[in-house]
Amino acid sequence: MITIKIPSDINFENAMSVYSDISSQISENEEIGFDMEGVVLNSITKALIRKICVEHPNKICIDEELKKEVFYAHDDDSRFDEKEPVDPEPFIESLGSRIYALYGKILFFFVIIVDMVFYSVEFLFNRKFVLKHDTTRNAYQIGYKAIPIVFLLAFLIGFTIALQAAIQLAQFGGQTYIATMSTMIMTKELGPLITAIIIAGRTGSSIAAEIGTMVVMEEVDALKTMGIKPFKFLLVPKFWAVTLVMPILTTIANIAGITGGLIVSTIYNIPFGAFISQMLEALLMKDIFWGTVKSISFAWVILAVGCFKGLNVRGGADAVGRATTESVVVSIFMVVAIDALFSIILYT
Amino acid sequence: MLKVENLTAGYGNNIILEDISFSIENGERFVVLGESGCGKSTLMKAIVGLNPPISGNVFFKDNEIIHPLPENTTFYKEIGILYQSSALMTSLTLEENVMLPINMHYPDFPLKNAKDIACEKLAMVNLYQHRDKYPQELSGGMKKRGALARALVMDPDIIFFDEPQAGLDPVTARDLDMLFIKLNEQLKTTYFIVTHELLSIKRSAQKVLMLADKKVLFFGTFEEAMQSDIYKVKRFFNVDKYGK
Repeated sequence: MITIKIPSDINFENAMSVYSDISSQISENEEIGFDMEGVVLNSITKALIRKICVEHPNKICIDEELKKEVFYAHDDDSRFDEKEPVDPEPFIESLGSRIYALYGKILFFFVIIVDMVFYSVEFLFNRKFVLKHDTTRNAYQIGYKAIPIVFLLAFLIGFTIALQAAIQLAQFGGQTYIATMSTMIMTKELGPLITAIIIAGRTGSSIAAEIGTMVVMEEVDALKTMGIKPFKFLLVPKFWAVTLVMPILTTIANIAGITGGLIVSTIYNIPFGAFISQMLEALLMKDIFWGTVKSISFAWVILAVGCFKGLNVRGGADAVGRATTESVVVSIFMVVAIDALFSIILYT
Repeated sequence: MLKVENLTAGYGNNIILEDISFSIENGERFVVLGESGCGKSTLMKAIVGLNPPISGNVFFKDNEIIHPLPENTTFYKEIGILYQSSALMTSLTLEENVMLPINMHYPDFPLKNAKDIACEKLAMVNLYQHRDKYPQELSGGMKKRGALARALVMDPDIIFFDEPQAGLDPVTARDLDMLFIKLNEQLKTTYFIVTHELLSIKRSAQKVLMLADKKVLFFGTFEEAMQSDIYKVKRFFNVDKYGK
């Protein structure tokens, strides 16, 4: 039997080199013992000895005392026992469970939409379960505070698009059409879309975070056990707030985008009067109406997604963060998808 | 006041409690105790309907409580709940939080009177001076007292407490217990307390229900529990003597 001296100063830095040294001393046929004199059994030393013992189970001779120190006992409480390994679910069953779970989620999403609309209409006749002035407070937060960013973004996008279009149109002498193009593109598509994307980023995320935090902090449970309907308490003020402010914000976005076009047309020496008369010609009531309808439906979808993601939060702060991000991504995707659907229905 | 018969509860296919039966009398301080994970909070959630029972019956003031409850139920007006996390609405001040149940159930009730009632309850729990503060500006003990004021505001017949001393230092926990006891004696409200804090149990329990292995291990008065021969009960109250 050979006795290997264990160094007394093993730490995380030198552990691997110590391990190599010890391994090189282990020969094929001889049994091994350890000289532990002066060794402090810190975590890394114990781990090293365990590693050697596990790798050479038949060669190591260590006394029972050391064994007890080095090897840790597994929990003896049945609650912490390792469970029998479960066979993985067969593919078809696993697929079925996933589809079933997805079906449940889709159903819940539609329940939220139906409840949101139902309670919002019911609120007109029954003010129970909604805080006074909550709609005004929400309208201020969602609408008034978003005006600068909506205006700025719509203006910049309107300006950029008009500029790019003007460069191309100028080649054919058609720069006079900037007004028509700006007006049509903003009222039909970009006005509602830009507003919805901003609202998804600002409001959708904040709704998901607010409701998610309320779920984590048991506030939603508290509402239920106070006999208050959480859907009505949380969603109705926001529903009416977005329904009122979205058309206004969309109008602001339209004005800002067309103003961007106006500035480009001034650069291209188009008279102000000509721009206005072309704009009025291109401004159709039908487009304004459908733009408003689109903006309201975008707002409802953003609200429902934020609520859905918030109510599905399970866990802590990280889950709230995830829900917030997901709500923005899903909202924007759904807004663009619905916009495409509207375009197909209205313009084909 | 509250009667539970053969209640089975759990989450999905995971049964946490089986065949639980007990009853609580008016004005009693009833404590549900047991080791962590034995199903104390699950029992409370099953009774109040946050996680409705899988089977069994719950009777409140001789009426059976069947979840989901009908629209016009008065059950939630007659109970109060104090959550482990206090669950005060962070967007509302303490006073608004306490007024919330009145404002929600009676939207036409004059705001001035609702405020007055809320202030009375806040004074009861020594938080009148802090009524304009938001929950995040309060300490853990103050939040619990605020939540108690909210639980009391509708003059409930029974208050459910979920681990009320969790996260509190021993002095604050004792003060809170003393406040609970004082209010119980003053208002004669029934208490259903879920806890495993030994000191708190010794201070406030009149009747105890001990859960273990999904079942009722012991049900009786606090004095009977202290003299019980059941090993797990003895161990719970004298953990240093009996150890594991």
